[in-house]
Amino acid sequence: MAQWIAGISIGHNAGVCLLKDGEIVFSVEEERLSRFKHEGGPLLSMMKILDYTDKIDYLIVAGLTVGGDEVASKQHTTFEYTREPIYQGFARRLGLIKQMAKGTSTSDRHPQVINMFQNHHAQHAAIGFFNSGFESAATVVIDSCGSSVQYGNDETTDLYFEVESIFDCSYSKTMYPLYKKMGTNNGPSIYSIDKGTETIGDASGGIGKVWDCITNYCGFHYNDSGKTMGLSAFGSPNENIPPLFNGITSNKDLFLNKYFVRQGSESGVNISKQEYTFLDDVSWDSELTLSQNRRDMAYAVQVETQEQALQLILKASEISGNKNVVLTGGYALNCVSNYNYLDTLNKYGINLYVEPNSSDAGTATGAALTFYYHITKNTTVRKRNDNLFLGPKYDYSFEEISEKCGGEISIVGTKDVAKLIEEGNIVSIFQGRSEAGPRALGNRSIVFNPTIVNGKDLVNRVKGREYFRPFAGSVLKEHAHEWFDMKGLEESPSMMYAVDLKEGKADLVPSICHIDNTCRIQTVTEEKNRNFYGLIEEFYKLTNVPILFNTSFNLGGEPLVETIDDALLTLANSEIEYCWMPEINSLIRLHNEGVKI
Amino acid sequence: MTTWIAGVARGHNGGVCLLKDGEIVFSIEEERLSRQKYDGGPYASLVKILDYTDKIDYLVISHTQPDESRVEFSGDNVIVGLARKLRLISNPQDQVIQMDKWHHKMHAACAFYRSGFESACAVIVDGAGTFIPMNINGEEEMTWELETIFDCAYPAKFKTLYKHQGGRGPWPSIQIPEMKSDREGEEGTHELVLDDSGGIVKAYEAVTQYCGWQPIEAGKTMGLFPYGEYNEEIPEIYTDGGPTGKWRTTDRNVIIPTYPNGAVVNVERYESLDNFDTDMEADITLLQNRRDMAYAVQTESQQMVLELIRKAVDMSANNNVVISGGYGLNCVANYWYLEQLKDEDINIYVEPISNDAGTAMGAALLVHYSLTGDTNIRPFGESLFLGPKVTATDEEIVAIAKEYGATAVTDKQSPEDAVKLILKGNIVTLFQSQCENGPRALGNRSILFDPRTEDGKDYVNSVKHREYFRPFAGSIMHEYADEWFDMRGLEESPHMMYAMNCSSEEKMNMIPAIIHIDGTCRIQTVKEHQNPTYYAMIKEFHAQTGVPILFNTSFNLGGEPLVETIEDAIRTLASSDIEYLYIPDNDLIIQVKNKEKKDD
Repeated sequence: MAQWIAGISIGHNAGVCLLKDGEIVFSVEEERLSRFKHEGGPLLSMMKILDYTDKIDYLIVAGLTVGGDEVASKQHTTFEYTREPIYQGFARRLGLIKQMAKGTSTSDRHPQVINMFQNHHAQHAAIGFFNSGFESAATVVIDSCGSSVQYGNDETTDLYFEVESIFDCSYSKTMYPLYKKMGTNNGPSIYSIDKGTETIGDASGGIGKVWDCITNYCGFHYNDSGKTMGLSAFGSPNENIPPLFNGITSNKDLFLNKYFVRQGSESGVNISKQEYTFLDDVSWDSELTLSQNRRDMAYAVQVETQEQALQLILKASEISGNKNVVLTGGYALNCVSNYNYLDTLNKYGINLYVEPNSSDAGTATGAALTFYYHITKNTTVRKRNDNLFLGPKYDYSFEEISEKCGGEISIVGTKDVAKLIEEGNIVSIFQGRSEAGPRALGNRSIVFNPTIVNGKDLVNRVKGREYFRPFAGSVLKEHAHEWFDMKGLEESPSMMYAVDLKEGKADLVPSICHIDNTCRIQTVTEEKNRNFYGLIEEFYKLTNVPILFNTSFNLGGEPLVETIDDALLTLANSEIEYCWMPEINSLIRLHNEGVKI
Repeated sequence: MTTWIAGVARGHNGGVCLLKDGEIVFSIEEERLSRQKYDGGPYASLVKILDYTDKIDYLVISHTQPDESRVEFSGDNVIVGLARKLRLISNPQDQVIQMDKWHHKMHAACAFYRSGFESACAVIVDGAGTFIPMNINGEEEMTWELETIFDCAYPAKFKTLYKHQGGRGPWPSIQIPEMKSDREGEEGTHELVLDDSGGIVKAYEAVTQYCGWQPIEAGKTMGLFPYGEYNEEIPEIYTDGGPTGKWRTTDRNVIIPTYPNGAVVNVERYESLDNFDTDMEADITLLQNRRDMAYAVQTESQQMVLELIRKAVDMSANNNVVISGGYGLNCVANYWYLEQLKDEDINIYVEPISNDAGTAMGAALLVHYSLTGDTNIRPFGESLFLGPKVTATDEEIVAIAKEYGATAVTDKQSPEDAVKLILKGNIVTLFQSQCENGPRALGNRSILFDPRTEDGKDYVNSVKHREYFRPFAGSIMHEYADEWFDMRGLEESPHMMYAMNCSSEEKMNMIPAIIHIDGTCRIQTVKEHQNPTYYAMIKEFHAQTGVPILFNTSFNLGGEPLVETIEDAIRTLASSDIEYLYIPDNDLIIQVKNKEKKDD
């Protein structure tokens, strides 16, 4: 009998990961199905499980909340008659798990439901470690705030939230905490070393919170922190800006830290303080990204946090005595920082694995895998997971698509598509299963000719994105080293590094070169994505450039398209004219106004 | 343009009713899909809508209090969030209508629109409806709807005439003859009675708990009541006047309400009710004080509702009365009113979906009539076979039957073949496409048996794992109803809402298996067009035996909801001594004979 474990993450970037005997059957983020970015509450994702199995053995609920499981289950109650936690109740109604036994109260634990609310960072660590292919590793988790713990004496207790963690990971020990940095809103500073775990906490923010504050200062939502990274390249050192950190704690004068991040809570820069009034430079309703102060703050936070994170990676290797280091948690998506660590890590001989599914969506997978290894005691080392095409499967035929596409559909070869791209058309690609993690890797991508000078502005406009946001390039793996300074990386299959273009190359691919001469790159092999590889290869034959401009297939503010219907709707709602579906050798053309270069 | 309206009942007996231009497309209780009795939070039901439409225009949500559940990150209520995620709605702001402030009105709407009356007064009696905060002596206190009278007319008039609210108290009782109706969303005034007693149903719930059951299992108390008798040591449950002596209400000395759910009998105060020396592990329904208490609450509560009916007719000056709310399911009381009111020229309609599931339908219908202003009268007696269509090919059924170890699947079977099995003394289950709404099985999800069998009641109760004292229903060809039963002027009883007396002792003795200890039988009259296959079976049984009646009970085992799918049906056979399943849509009879079953 196969054993089915479903992990779900319930907060923002909610999702489901279904394991069958420890192998990932599918993994999807709720936003892809509900079409609402950063969506929480993985209800549709749970329904998807029914496409694969009627029953599961365990439902693992990964969340984080104030004050532990008891409060958590109250917060997530249906309030309707059975008073079960919502996701347990939903799974039961779908028939995935059994009815509660007769005579049990709903406050009793359901034997098939395991809540993991207390150790959010360990869930992040688990996906990173189990995907890394390492036999053992030190795992560094950095995000803005994880689970909370109460510290204090009998009279007063305060909540402290996970900020940065280091875990000692192996198949026998799983995730053992070596270091925990905690943050609190009001509590006193704490420090302890207990059973090999160093805990430090105070009323300041860590790397993630400081990032959130400046994201907010630049006018973005805290969930859009990637935009700050894009903007940072427009800034420069500014001596009026004070240091953001004192040692490892954030500058308490400068930042407003609020850990319990809910709708409406503040997290920003303290511009009311006299010495910082200069930061209050423009009206809130103007385009904040044009202000030099905002740009310089973005620059400062990029430079200072990457140094903080680097020190954590070095510390992790040192205290664990392990040269294998895994980096995960939301900050691991910072591809500028990831590239920046490499010189130093090479010097120390540290092998870094950066988890691509580092947002909270990944905790669904982390929780499911943690539980799988917990009950099976399996110690066979998983091979490095280099396949992110984990979304649900969709079947479709040429006939079906031609009936509903609402435009022309023609049979094409890869060469024809490459030609269209070379001519300056925007072409979207839809094939196979969607990408896990935030990066489009050729199954749900929009591609373009990277040699076109004003391509960046054009595609940003068509997608409805901000002017300052850079684009990625997908390069044939064997040519990566000619074009990019890989700093010892053999490959970059998951687009986790913003690498420097080599001397003289930047001018050849202007539309994917960011203002600081870097490019977020994906190295592509035939083995991993035959159709995408073939397309880049044909483009190379036409242009001598083995690289395609690659951006996620969606419009600004929307999640990645998931279904063919989503793809067609995106075409209908935009100037994107073409969608290539290599599995049925078809090209859809919707007669929009057409894009003028 | 077609208008789709989905009504949702959130609480216990949650469910969904989908309307297309005012016609019911389907209506289902969550428990049927989730397989947990009384289940709330109709998520599986909401997903069912997708089988019929991708988009709805309005989502109308009925409950008793605001929704505090939240989907993470977006902060929607879970029901609204699920509807949005399923893309049934795109704009919650404009498409979601919350009806949690008017629970009783939703009951009234369900009953009125289905009654066939042009206008009527509605009498709503249930345990506790909407939570209503009131300022009492300067304090914010919570009170609950207990009994309400509405004046109802097309297209969407539901004017509150009277409302009884109760709360935990203690506080002084008050009567306000002209309470402003703005909280009810209405102009004008209504009579408000506010006290700290339980209402009519709280007393029933208290006795139900006193007999060892959950408050929601009040039907069992109704089954037990004829085992009891008048006992003068038992205190009167309802008392004249409460503290100010102006109206009759539950005596707080006897019944202590525990709002919002349930109430307890004050056993400490009354020696006769106490059970210090009883073995609580034993079956307490054998205790005389339990039985007599059941008797007391049945007879006293029906008197209370009767007075409310009279009050409703008086206040509304309308002789058409619709009854709903949980107490509407009391088929003993429903029959009793007919006798009491026979000289008063009052027409009564009792809503078969009187439980909270009906508020989904009521809410949807109310919004439909409000939007359209339609004044055409909906006909009485709309079919209750409103569940989603459940069909399967022969091959699919055979595959499921195999999985559950069926011993035989026979095709080309007719109603006559099924009746043959009944005549041989077998229990035969009947499964047809759309399940019944409301708690009664009416021949689409029924267990059938020979009503002439002497010990049939005990036998079927033991097979279904039900208590010894629970009675069974009979389904009779409509044209023979008057010959066999005292219909008390009713033309028909298609929804099994009345427990009736037999017309004679002779007739009664012919059908012992469906006669309760007090000589009554819960009756469903069947006309051919209402259920052709079921009618044909009863007709065949009549041709063979001279008895135009089949023993009919709900197709499920004790404590389980009615079976919904063919798999539920076959699984029920596999896990019980029930051997036969007749599926007329496929002309199949399935036999599951397992080892434990009587081989002889």
